Amino acid sequence: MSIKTSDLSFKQRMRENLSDSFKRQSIAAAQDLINQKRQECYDKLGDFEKWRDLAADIRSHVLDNLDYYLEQFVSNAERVGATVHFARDAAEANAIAREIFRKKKATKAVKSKSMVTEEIGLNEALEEIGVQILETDLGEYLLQVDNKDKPSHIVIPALHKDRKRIRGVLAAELGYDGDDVPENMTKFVRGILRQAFLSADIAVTGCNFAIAETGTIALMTNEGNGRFVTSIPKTHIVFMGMERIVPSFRELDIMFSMLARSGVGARTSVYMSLITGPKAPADVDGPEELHIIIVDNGRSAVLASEFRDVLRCIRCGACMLECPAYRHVSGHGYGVLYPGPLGAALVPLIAGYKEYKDITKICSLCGACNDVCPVKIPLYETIYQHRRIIVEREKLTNRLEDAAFSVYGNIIGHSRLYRAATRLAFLGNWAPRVSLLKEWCKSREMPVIQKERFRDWFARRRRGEA
Amino acid sequence: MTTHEFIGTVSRALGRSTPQAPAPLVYRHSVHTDVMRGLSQDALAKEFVDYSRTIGAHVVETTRSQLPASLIQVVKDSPAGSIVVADDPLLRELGIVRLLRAIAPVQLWDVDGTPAENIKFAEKARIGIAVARMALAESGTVLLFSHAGTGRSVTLLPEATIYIIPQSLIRPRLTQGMAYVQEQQNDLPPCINFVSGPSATSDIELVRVVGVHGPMHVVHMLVTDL
Ligand code: SF4
Repeated sequence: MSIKTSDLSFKQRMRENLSDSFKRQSIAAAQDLINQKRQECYDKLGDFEKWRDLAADIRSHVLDNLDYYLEQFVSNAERVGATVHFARDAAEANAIAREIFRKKKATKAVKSKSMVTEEIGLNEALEEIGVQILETDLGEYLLQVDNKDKPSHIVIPALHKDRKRIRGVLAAELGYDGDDVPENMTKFVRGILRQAFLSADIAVTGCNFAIAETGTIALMTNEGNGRFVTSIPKTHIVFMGMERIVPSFRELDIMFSMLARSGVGARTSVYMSLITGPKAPADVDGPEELHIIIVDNGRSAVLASEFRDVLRCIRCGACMLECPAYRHVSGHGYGVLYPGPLGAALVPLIAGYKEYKDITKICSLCGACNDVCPVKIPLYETIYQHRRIIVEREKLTNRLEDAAFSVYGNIIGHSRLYRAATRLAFLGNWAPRVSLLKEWCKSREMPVIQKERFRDWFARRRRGEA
Repeated sequence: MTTHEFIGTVSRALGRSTPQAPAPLVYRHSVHTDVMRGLSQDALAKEFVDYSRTIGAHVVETTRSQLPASLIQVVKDSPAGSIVVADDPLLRELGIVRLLRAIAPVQLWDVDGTPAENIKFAEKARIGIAVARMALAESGTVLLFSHAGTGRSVTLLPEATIYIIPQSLIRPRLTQGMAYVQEQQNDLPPCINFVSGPSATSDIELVRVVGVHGPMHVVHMLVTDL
């Protein structure tokens, strides 16, 4: 895969996903369920705002000193025996990986879910040189065997598939003849992947966090694939977005506490593995070689820009689960690897406004994402700022749309009034009578702003009132 | 690309030519150290037991003198088959291998053996037994140094894992777990695992299924007087 996951036009994607009622229902159900679990989890923990102050402070501190911490990380990782490589972009990262596979004469790889490897299109790059690379996260695996279907969420990639569809795919592709009970299908896949783990030459993983003080890689999984790939294959390649750093284990505590809760509404993931170098002489199992490929791929430009805060992201997926627009169009509507508010904020920065200007439109600027982001990224302000840049600096759209955005602009410009304003926004439904907007609305359907804010409605629903 | 070139790009993005030592990171709040602050060891153990059950681990409370008998009982209640035991001082002291050999084929993780032999046995084994370094009350987590005698495979390949957990080693939460790891940072084992219950997934229609790649059954055997 790469950042772009669909060749359809923006309009086609919208139409296709809005008309897929099964997908919309499953996304909505998933949002409700996980959001509720997350809420309960944070309620139990208490002081969400303080926790995310800490998390945001840590991430900002790291980004502001990223050169220092990266240097520290690299020297410690090398000290404990890892080989560290650097890649400016996707092509360089893939070339380094291919070289390792060639040297090791490796043809079989197992991979534990990793966003950065998707971002650079690693699977395709390895398949081109004849390497068979298997996804081992159950959701990713189900997509891979379903003719390389695309993920609809960054944490729960097969969110859009139901058990019938999955059963059909397992039967057609792998000869599964059982029923469609999730337990039974999972057991079937367990058997297949276990053989793959035991016979793979190389393991590929991402990196949730990298600890500067010790050169350690932290990997979180629930299924145990993160443990498997770091126990059995002889070579382990870690792909690490260059901003994944935390200074020490002390900060890992805060970040992991937030990631598990925000990601799936759990106090912890089932497994967290801390990998410090390859296996030691006293160890029987574990990889003999550990390679860490640190990837820039547009991140240093974001670091230098006014949008540095976006790099705080820990890829928890909470913003998309809270997003009313994502609820309707799903991850597929965005047509990019990172969907939802994160995607609308990040993708234009690392992949360009020109090609990705449209995804900034999939946002009503309601601000629900900001309220849940565990590292307090100003998501909707970023998305709004992108829209302004698209119009004013990049001149990628026409003037009539400028006006439309300025409607939002007036609201967001007074962000303190924003909450109150969205409560009153239904008054804006008379907008088509005003001349400029009337023009604009000739070619576009003016969104009818609901009389109740989505967030209020959502809160009522949670309480069982709606 | 060299380290120097790569770090140089990052420095330039930050508006300087070389890295500079950062000002200390100040924590504005103490929410993480406040969790379960002041709870007695018994109260922590209760939290640990309750949450272990919530996440699907089976809890057995025992004492040091009762440990062999409890272990035999748990093994008898588990899927029949061979057992792989971590080479750990406590388990040696208790003579666990000899004891269990009376009821099942047992192999100690053999630090002098080859990876292939060890992995092969562990892969066939139905049960793995290891000792926790620490346990965390908030999340029902076991902290494990997967190193030397406690091979990574011992707690990964067999379908059931029995963790022996001295009650005195239960701490409130990850904060204390991380502090413990940090204390040993000059001599870290290459692989540390924090394990919270059986392997699980919710990837199909968000239905929770246990036992994807790792163990399906996890037993937390709490030794109250250790
Ligand atoms: S932007 Fe925030 S909420 Fe969204 S995925 Fe990143 S960290 Fe999570």
